[in-house]
Amino acid sequence: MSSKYAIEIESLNIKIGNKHVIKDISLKVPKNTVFAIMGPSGSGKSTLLRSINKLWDLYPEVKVSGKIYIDGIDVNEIEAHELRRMVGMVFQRPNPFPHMSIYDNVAIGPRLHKLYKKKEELDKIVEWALKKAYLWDEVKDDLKRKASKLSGGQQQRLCIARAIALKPKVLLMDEPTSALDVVSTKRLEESIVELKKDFTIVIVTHNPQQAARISDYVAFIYNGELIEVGPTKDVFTRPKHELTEKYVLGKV
Amino acid sequence: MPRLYKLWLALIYIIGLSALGVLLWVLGSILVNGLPVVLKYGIGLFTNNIPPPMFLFFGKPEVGLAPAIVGTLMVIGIAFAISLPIGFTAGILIAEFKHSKIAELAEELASTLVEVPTITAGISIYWLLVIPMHNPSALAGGIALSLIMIPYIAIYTAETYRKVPMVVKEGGLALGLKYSTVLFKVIRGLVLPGVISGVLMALAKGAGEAAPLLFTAGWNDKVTLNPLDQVSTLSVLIYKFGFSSQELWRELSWAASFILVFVIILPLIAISKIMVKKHEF
Repeated sequence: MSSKYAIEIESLNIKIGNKHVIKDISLKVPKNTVFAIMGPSGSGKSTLLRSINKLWDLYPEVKVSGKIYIDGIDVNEIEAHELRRMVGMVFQRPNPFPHMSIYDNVAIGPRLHKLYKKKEELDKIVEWALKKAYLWDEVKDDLKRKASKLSGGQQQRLCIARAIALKPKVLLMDEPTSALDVVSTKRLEESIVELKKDFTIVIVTHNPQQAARISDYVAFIYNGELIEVGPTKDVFTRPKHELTEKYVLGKV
Repeated sequence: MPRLYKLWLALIYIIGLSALGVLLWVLGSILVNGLPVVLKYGIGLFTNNIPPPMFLFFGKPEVGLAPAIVGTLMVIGIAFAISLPIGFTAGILIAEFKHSKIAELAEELASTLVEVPTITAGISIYWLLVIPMHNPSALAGGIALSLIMIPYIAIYTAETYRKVPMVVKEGGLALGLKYSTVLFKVIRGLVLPGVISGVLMALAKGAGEAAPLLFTAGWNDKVTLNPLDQVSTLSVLIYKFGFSSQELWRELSWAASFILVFVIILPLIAISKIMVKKHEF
């Protein structure tokens, strides 16, 4: 059962304690696109993103209701770890496994999921992932170096490599550049545009310019409500909603 | 006011230094009194049996601590084998399943057990095990000691797992790995030094305890490897011989103190501290 959408979300509601954080949101994310979710801090974008790979399962105080389909598969029909195998994630702050080498950080997913037979195959996967994440040239001479020794920007690209080494269908990115400087941000954005050839990417950002630069589709979320969604060009040039226009112009 | 402050500061220094002084005095007196005895009897101390009570009638007896050294290792080994799996599991439960009632209970239990006087562990195992078995034994001693060591290992394990940031664990989960895989494989390298350090501290604590063994391990002049036999241990020997009017007993008590502190406990603590240093990333 395959769908033309990588992700379909139907009337999603999320409550954290008594707070209604996501209010009845429905979205469809076409395959092999970069889909940006933008909105001011505290609007619920990250909360929405983390529900796509069921990360809220660990937090009993968070209640998620509604339907989410990944490539046509109802996420409630499968185990959380099976779902996350299909849906990779890059976090707001780089979170490589600090005690492991660069190589092991990328290799651990394929290794624990037993995705290869020979060591050479694993080497190939690691090289492929690091190249896709635009990190290979900087680290190829010293793959045994500890991940904690890398710069913040390099660590974040390492996290991308770690996620895509499993060849997920979808890659979720939760404000991946918020802890990075301008140069690192530019690098990361380049790699995101490259990655959409192989993956569907959902990126959360509080920066409308970033959404405009890299995304094909954009959803604007404000106060837990979906205000507007559509092709990035349309939303930025002819916003239908007054609030979107204000936000895009930096007035919210 | 500044003068008062200076006075206050001076007082703090004096009290702090005297605390350190007491520690150094204890270690120093063990060194000064113990080392000469160890040198006097040499290697025989580690291979010979403890001289029997009537040694004065037997001419020149063999002098050694071998039964107490072997007994200590046996009791500690048994306690280790029991307390490691239980303590580690409890620690994981406390740190990682904090929403469950059992985890809450385990944490309460561990923090209470640490505070309980160690002699009560001895007396309870005496009633539970020694009386039904009609005999003290290395096994009973080991079980009593494990009651002391389990909460240590549990608390250290929990602390170590708690130190790993949630976002690192989520990084593992986001790779489609089960929670148990993340805990036992992905972050293993991150927590192992901390857990080992806790286990070593628990061993050091256990090795030095006499109270839980007084009722449970019994006494033996000769080396035995049977866990159901009575054994003597260094700590109990120190207690038994320390007050004796016989010079030889007192000598052996000092020698046992030296071996216990400088050969067993301090090295364990030192390795544990190095492990903790390595754990910081």
